[in-house]
Amino acid sequence: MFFALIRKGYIMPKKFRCFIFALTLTFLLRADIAAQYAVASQEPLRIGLTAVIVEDFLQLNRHLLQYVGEKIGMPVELVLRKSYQEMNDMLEKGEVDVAFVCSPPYILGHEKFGLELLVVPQIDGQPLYYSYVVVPKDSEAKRFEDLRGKVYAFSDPLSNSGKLVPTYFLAKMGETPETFFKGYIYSHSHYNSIEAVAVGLVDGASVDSYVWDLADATDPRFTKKTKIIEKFIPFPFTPFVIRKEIDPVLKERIRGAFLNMHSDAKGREILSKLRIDKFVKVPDSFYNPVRKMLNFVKDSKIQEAKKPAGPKVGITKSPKER
Amino acid sequence: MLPGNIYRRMALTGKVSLVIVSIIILVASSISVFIIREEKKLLESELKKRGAEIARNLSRLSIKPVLHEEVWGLYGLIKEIIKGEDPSSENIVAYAMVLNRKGEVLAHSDPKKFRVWSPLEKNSLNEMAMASQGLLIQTIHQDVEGDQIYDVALPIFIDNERIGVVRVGVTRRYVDAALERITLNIILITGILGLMGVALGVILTGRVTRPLRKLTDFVRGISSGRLDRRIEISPDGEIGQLTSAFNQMAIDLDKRTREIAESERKYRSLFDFAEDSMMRLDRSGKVLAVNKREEWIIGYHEDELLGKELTTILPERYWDLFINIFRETIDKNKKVPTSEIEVVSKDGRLIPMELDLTGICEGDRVVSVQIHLRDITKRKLLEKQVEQSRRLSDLGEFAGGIAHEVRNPLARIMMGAYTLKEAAPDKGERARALDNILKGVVDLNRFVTELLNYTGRMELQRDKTDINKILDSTLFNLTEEAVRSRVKITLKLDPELPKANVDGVKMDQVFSNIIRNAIQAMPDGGALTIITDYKPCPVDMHMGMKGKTNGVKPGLIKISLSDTGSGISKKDIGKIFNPFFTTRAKGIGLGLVLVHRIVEAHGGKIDVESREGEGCIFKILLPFVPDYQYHDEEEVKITPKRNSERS
Repeated sequence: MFFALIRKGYIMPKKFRCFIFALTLTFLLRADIAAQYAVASQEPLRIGLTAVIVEDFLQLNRHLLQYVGEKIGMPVELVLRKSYQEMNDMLEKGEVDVAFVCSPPYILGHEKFGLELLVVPQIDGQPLYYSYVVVPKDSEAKRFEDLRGKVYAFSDPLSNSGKLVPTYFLAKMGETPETFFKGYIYSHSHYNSIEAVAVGLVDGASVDSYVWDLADATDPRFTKKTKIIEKFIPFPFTPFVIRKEIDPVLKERIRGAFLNMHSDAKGREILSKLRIDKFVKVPDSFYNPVRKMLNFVKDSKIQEAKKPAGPKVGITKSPKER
Repeated sequence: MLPGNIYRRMALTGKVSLVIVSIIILVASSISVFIIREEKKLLESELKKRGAEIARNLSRLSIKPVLHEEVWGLYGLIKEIIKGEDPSSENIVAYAMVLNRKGEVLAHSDPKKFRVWSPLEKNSLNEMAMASQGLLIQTIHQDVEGDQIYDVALPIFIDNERIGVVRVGVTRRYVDAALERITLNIILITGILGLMGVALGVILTGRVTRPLRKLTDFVRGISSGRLDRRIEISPDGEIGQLTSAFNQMAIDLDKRTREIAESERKYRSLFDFAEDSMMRLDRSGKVLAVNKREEWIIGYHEDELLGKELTTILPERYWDLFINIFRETIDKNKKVPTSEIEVVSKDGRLIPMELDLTGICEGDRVVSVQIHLRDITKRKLLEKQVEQSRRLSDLGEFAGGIAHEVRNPLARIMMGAYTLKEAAPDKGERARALDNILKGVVDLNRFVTELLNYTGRMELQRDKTDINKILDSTLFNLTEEAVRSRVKITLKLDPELPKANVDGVKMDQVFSNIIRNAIQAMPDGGALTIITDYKPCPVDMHMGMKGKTNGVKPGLIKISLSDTGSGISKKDIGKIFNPFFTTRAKGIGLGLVLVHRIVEAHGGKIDVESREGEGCIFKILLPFVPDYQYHDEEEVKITPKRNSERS
């Protein structure tokens, strides 16, 4: 597992390699210590972030979490994982307390082990965002449908904007990524997807509008080589989730720290850098549109599976699906 | 290489430098060829090694991503490889790719061109790479930029199963660039060494050539006549020997030259002060040298004659004769007998001379001709005088005989006529006849007396006489004749003229004869100019004598009498002093003979110059020797000095 992680570290940008390695090691030791002594009061709050949305803006997110830690008066430990699936697994096992995960992982976690919503960032007045279909600047594709037979990039298998939304639209067209595309890859990060499009590794990608806009505003190296040809309807934004088992008082303290961030200067500064208005609390039903999409895709996949296997099956399987 | 003759003509410095530089270039180029070849091998093998290393790393890291088809991960790996480990060093990786087992691209450094899951172009290179079982390095001859590329292919194995191939292209560009750099450095170092070689050559040869240059300067100095110089002897071997040899040569040469100069001086003084006039002519007849004697005699300075032909001083009538003699001498080196010629002096006088030619040989060849001209004026004069004396003596004897033979009958005729006259006292015709007879006898007797006068011995009664005064009294006596003939007389008498020791009566005869002749030569009027002048002797003649001359030097009193009469023809001019020569009907031809005799009796000289129709000039030179006053105590130094008054 660790060696696999280290290996996976190689495919990350260099500056993160050591960091990930160190974190992994820390986590390993900490898990041992936790198992042996279980000194709960000394334990920090472990907040998990995934590469999918955060990795390239790590510094900003670290500031955010430090801020929260200061507010709740607890040390905060940052836990980074590559995929939502891994993060969900850790949440389930209690290895992470709070995490910033996409809506599908939340819905799946909520169903499976009672994962709870903590807060949702509000962008431009609403806790909503889009799924962009991004192609190279010189691409002839004008609509998502034009990408048939091309190579496509998804961010994470459990990402809403990076996987579920396009899959949903393909399902509505009676297609699956396997049938529609020549092949697809997982970049494990919206930012990577933008780069993959920019360098021409893929012909198109589904990208989180928040990430694209943030990248375009802060580091437009890759975004300027790409163009958006589709903006799929707004969806509920990626939430911070919290384990059900956390002490309700602490839960509220943490939530309060997030929700009141915009009311002090330091918090506002961090928020503005992250292009977030503020954090808001939403009910579980807020994610019902995503639940619908998930169900629709699941249903269509079942139908798909009943069909005879196509020639392309096998090439495009993601590692997790194997 | 330089052509041989250019090399031979180069200075020693150039030669040595050239040789050193050639050796350096030869050595450097052979070493550099070896070094470059070795370096090339080394760099190539290094490059291949690095390519293989990169491929191995990529292959090792690609196992899981290939297995899981993690395209993004593979892309990240390739991106890292392309980016290079050290951003400052050159990236040797031209391309990198990971292929799956089917040969499709999973990731390529140029993702736009090599799309994911697209197969590679079918060619032997790609097929060989795909089929490789281990490390395979192939050479692609040219990439897009024209550089050679090594394509390193390495299969990816997991559990002995081949799941894909890693390929890395490493460019030779940096090898070539490095080789170029090395070559440039070698050229640079060779250049520097070459310059050092030249410097070394210059320094080394400078040590050798500096004394040589000094020697050259020294020898040039000797050539230009600076024989007194010596060169510093350098202590070292050959050059030292050479220098001392040169010094010895200079000493010897100096000595020889002095000897030659001495000999030349001796010869020159012999030549200059020889009794004879001497000249040297070259083969073309041009004057090479003239001695002093010649200068004195003919009045030309040596410089005026050098390079001229002898015809300048030779009257035209002698040209053929001279040319013949000259040819004989120069062509046959024959001794031609002495001939008598005349030479024209600068002032136009004709000087009789004896001519002898001697060929001066170098080997058998006559290179120049020495001409001896012996002034025979004196001899000629002597001959003439002898001849004249002889003739006069003959004439005297003859006249004596005649006088003796004539006077006795004349006495008898006179006696007879006298007696007859006494005897016939009448004054008739007879008496007149007798008077005529007597008159004739007296005339005849006077003629005989005169004849004896001319031919007899000349007795001089010398006394200190002022020539100017004699001329005055002579002219006084002839004033009437002059006025009658409307002759204008001009006198330019030297008031300083010393008193000459002459016979005044005889000198009066001389002047009156000449002046009378002049007046007679100008029957229709004219001008007579008489000039007296004193010329001190050019050489101090009292040399060896004790005493002083009261400031008057011995010399010549010159009296010139010129008229504007009919003159004397060229034909006659040599004969005018001959007895009985006359151009006048009435003259007997003894007047000028008497003049000549008187002047000669005084030790003087008389010359006549004339042009027919333009008059003539008589020039009389009388020697003047002052009286010496002796002072016994005083030692008079014998110093021959050249008189500045010499003309």
